[in-house]
Amino acid sequence: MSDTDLVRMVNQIAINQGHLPEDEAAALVAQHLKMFWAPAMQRDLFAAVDAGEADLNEVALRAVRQLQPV
Amino acid sequence: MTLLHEPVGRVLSDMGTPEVPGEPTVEVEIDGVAVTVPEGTSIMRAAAEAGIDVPKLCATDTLKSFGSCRVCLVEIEGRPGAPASCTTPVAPGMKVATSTPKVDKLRQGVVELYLSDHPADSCTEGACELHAMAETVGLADVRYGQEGHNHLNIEVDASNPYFTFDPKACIVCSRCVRACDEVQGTLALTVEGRGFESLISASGTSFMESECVSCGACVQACPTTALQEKSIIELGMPTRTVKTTCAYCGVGCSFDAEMRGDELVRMTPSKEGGANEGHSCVKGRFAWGYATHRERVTVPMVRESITDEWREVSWDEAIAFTAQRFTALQQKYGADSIGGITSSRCTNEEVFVVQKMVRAAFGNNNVDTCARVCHSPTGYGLKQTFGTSAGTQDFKSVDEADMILLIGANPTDAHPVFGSRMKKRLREGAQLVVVDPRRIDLVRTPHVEAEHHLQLRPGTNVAVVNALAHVVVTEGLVDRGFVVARCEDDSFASWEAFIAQPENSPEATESATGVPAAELRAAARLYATAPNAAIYYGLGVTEHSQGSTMVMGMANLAMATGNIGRDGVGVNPLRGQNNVQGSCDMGSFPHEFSGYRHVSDDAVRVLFEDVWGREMRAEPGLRIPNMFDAAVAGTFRGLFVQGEDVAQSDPNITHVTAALTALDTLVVQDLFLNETAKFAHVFLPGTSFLEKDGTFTNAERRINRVRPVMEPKTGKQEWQVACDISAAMGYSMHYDDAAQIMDEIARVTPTFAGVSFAHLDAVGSLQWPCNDAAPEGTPIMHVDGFVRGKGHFVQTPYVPTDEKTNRKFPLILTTGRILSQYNVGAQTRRTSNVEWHPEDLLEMHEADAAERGISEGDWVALNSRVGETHMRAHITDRVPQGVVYTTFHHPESGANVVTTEHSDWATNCPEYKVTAVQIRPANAADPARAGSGV
Repeated sequence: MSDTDLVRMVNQIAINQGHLPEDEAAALVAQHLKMFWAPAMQRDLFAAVDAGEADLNEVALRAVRQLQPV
Repeated sequence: MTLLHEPVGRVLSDMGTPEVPGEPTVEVEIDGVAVTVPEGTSIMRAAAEAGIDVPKLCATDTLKSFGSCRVCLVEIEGRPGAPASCTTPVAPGMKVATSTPKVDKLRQGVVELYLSDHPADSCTEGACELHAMAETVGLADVRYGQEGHNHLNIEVDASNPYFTFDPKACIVCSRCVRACDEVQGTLALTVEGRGFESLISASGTSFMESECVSCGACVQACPTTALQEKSIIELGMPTRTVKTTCAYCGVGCSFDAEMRGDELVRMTPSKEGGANEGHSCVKGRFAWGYATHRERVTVPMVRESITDEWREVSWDEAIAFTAQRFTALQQKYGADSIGGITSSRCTNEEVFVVQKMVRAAFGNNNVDTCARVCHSPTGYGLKQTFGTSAGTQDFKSVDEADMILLIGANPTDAHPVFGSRMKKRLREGAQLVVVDPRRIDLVRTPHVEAEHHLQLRPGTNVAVVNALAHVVVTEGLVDRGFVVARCEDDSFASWEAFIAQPENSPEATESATGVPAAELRAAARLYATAPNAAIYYGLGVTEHSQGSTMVMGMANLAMATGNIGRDGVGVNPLRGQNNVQGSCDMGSFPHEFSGYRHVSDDAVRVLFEDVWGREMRAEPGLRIPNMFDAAVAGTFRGLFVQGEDVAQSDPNITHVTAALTALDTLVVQDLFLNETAKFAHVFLPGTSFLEKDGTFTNAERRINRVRPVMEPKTGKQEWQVACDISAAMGYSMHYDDAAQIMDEIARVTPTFAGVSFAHLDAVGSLQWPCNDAAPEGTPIMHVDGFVRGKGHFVQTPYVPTDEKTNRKFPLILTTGRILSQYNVGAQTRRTSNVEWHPEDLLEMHEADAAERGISEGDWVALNSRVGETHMRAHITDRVPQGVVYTTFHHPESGANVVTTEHSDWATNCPEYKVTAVQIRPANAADPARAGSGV
């Protein structure tokens, strides 16, 4: 799946939580990805982030970090 | 297969005048029979209640009594004369005689006079109440010849494609005029002239040229054959009927399919239908010819490559071919490389079986439904706030609404039968606020005028709903009692603080929304202070980048004002297709099993694993747009599409077709070789609603039976095909009939626990939840508490869409539907409905047109960031300057060539309603798209 699409989508989710404190917003974004994104989409996004190819906003990035396997 | 056959008759159970609500308190005696009825009941109805049919012509129980035909005369003890029983109310102790020498003679005289200008050969045999009435009143001969002054030489109006008006058969009883006024609310008909010169007129022109919307109410009401279906004239009267459900919009009207042998000759709306109560629209009533259209494919076909010719094969070969290719893809690319899309046009049973095939036979959760591109934000938003993914009311609830807030919906075109019901309530005095960029008919139509039309800029819904809520909160209009008793304290407190912020005020949002602050404040006060205020909404809410946010914003507004949990209020999605609600209920979403239970819920998964005997995956699968993205990326290789035309209906068609082209195996199950089938390797012929056996669930959660009126023209029910593919892939699914599928649905879905075909056949329809707690269903939800317990308020910040206008794309395109066509037009384009809408047009404001040198009817090129298409311009003041509008019923116009990949943040529902475009004059239709479709 296109990294551009995934990045656009996760950033959009994060922007829609922009009224919340960053911690709370990031947790909600992470929860949303877990509930609604197929594992393959999550993996592709993580890979793009790890490769430094994902221009994520701060909340989206924190959400991804919460979800990524340690 | 279960059929519910009934004898044919147009006046079955006609009580003569409408039911009067209230307790039966007035006792009368009719022909010696005592009967007690509510005050205000007519003698005619009281007689009918007592089992006595008073002869009548102008009276029918769907219309107010009128008293024009003088056939229903009776004698009342102690009163002079012979009053009309339809217009005379009962009185305590009244003694009525419906048949005496005096009234019998009067009746005979009246009927004889009617017949003197009504030749015996003017009516189809068995179709005329007047001729039947002559027998009833014992009239043997007509003494008057027909040589005198008469109406016999007036021309028949055959302009309408579906019915004729023959004035020589007309008795000017006004039933048609009253049906148009009272039931449909169009007021297209009138009586012109006086005395003997009186004639029914479509306002001085032909029916086709008039305001008539061809709902069929006048034809249904006509007691003679002055107004008659052309199908009856051509094929003759029916000999049997089967009760079933319309397959068009989400209203889900009940119909009597009237058959002559195995041929359908007429569809008449059923008075017993809970959704429509005897009314219909031009689509359900007349536009069923597609089901037997010559272009229908009834034999399975396969091909190795989409550049090959189709090859007709047996069912066995088609199923083996499909299973082999899907299995091979999974072996090569992994279990997740294939998936399926279910259809809102198919029955609950068909949808359930397809999603089961994906989860159990494919072994993944890559199943989605076309609700993804329409009402998925409704599911998300209402579940977050109320606890379940469905509208709160039944349709009847609107009869109690004092104020209606109509947002992003056009019911008179897209949900016409409910639109008529809403208009009736508005004519009775309910107030209306319309929130829509376009001036829909309900803004101002005969006897209906909105108090306010908030003509917002497309894409600013959330700013408007926040501003409405801001007024409620800051002007002290919150229903504190309701909020304290029924909603969460914490979420309300944080929402209240959020919404009261100055940036949410009407004054602050006016520059973005274009809605004058004072008008918005007035609308908010109207909503908040009405005894019963109801929100109705459509795709103008959901198909936005903040569709889910908007749904939650409306839910917040309803909870804050206490407009939930009783008749006349609620948050009501008007669903687009006939079974959108049902397809969602049936577990079509990749993250949910039937009944909206997440796949990660261990207890739910165990339940399905026990019943289905296969391990279920705990993670969500791919949604439709994700499937297309993955197909282009090469990780998603096979797709089963049940009854949808994604190559026409989904946004950014260039991207969709690239995805479909990239698939190794595309299987399409449909009635016709649609646009999507151009990319398919397997075509599995589908069944029309006239052949299906199952259920549809409409927008009010009403589960209606769909009964077959003929055998499947393909030799198989669609659910059998899915079972066969599943078995060929190694997972056996067997059902003897569709009833067994519903039994399984009931077993695994708590909200359907009390539903069965037997129960539905016994009571007509059921609204879920239907279970031990509500054995006869649930018309109104959240009455004593929300499904989730306490109502949850969600903060809804307005985030402008990324789809921006600029100098290159300065206009905003928004899309919608028209009355005569349905969705991508696959059905209605194959009927005479094309006479009303032969092509999609681009509506534009005269200033935008003048600036570009465009005149009415000119071809124009419509450009967006993703594509270009051509269509003809229609200059109108329905749209404001800066906004253009079109429909998407014809593939030649390709409206979705220009719509973009932007989507709702929560659900990926496409943002069809906001596309930045430019328009320029063009010489002709787009040569790339000309000739597409029918």
